[in-house]
Amino acid sequence: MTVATTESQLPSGGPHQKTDGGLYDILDLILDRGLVIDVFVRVSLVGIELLRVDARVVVASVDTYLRFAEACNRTDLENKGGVGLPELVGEMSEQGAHGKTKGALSGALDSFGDALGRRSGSREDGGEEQPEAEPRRIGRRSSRQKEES
Amino acid sequence: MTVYVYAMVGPDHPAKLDGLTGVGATPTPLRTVRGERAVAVVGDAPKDLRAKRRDLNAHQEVLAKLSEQGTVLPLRFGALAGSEEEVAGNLRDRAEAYQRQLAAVNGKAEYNLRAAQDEDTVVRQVLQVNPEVRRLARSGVATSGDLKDRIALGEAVHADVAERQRRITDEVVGALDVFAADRRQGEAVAEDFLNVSFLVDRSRGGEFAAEARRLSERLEADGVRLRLHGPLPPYSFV
Repeated sequence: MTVATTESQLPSGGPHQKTDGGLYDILDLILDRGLVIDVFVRVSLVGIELLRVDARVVVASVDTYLRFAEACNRTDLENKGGVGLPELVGEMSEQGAHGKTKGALSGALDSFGDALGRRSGSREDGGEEQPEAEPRRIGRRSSRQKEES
Repeated sequence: MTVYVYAMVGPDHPAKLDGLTGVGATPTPLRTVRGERAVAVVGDAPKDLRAKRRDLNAHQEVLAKLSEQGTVLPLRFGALAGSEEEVAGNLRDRAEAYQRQLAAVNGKAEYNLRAAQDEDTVVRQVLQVNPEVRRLARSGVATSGDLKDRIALGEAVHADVAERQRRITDEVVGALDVFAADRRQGEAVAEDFLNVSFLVDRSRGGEFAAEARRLSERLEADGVRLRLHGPLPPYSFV
């Protein structure tokens, strides 16, 4: 069992954690939840809200479909020869997943860390940055991971 | 003078502010504005307040420390009051509401759970069990097919993936609900398909985290990665 010990991963020693990776993860709580008192002014946060709404839209766009089609082709090539024997396939995919999970883990952490700095930086310039198609990162990382392993 | 407002706490909250500094490039000590039924934790409002790492972190740090000492009503980042007198007036006007809200989250903390799934792992699963997807993939659609065909393939994969993730969500949320007093589902962000917050009594935090860990291990083979954050101030439940 490979439960990674990165600090933003589900903790194995206890539920406490405080890291910058964690901060990015709970940005929406700090910015969008919490008590609002209407007689108090709130600083302008133009840009930050956009980031999350757009990221959500990406999830069901043509871009997403094309990405899945591409992933489909990629993984089907790997799988040829294994498919058609369901009992073996189940075992194979389980083994495969362990390696991949590790890859996805560190990959996601990197992009979270980067994302906070990058986004707030460009907001400083007053720009409304386009969200990146971040969901791709996991796929790319794990295929690299796979080649290494 | 403008003040930045971090939180409301009960009159019996220790509100130990020694060593706590707040937002801004040169953070200054925090102070309280006391009302009869609620106390506000405030600090100087910096001129350059921004929703950036430094200040978001400072806001969260202050709330985390206050939360360790007792029950808090965390304010959303960036609340500014015209003066301490204005805060004091608000504490009088809203005394009963704050008392009620403090009671609702008394002794409880927020746990936020997010889940992402490795794309190759889930696509491989779909290919194994979905004959239509396999047929489309094998027909060469993904490489040489025209745009419409590729979109159709991707849409079929996406539908299957979404259904799998919906089932995982149901399993995870169902298992953790047992330990929670309240729950609030958030919007999926970027690659996460699940973003949900639970309000958990602090006495049950250990059980809750243990169950989350069990789920994390169980779902690992599906390429699912769970990330738990908590105990946090109850941002989602005030």
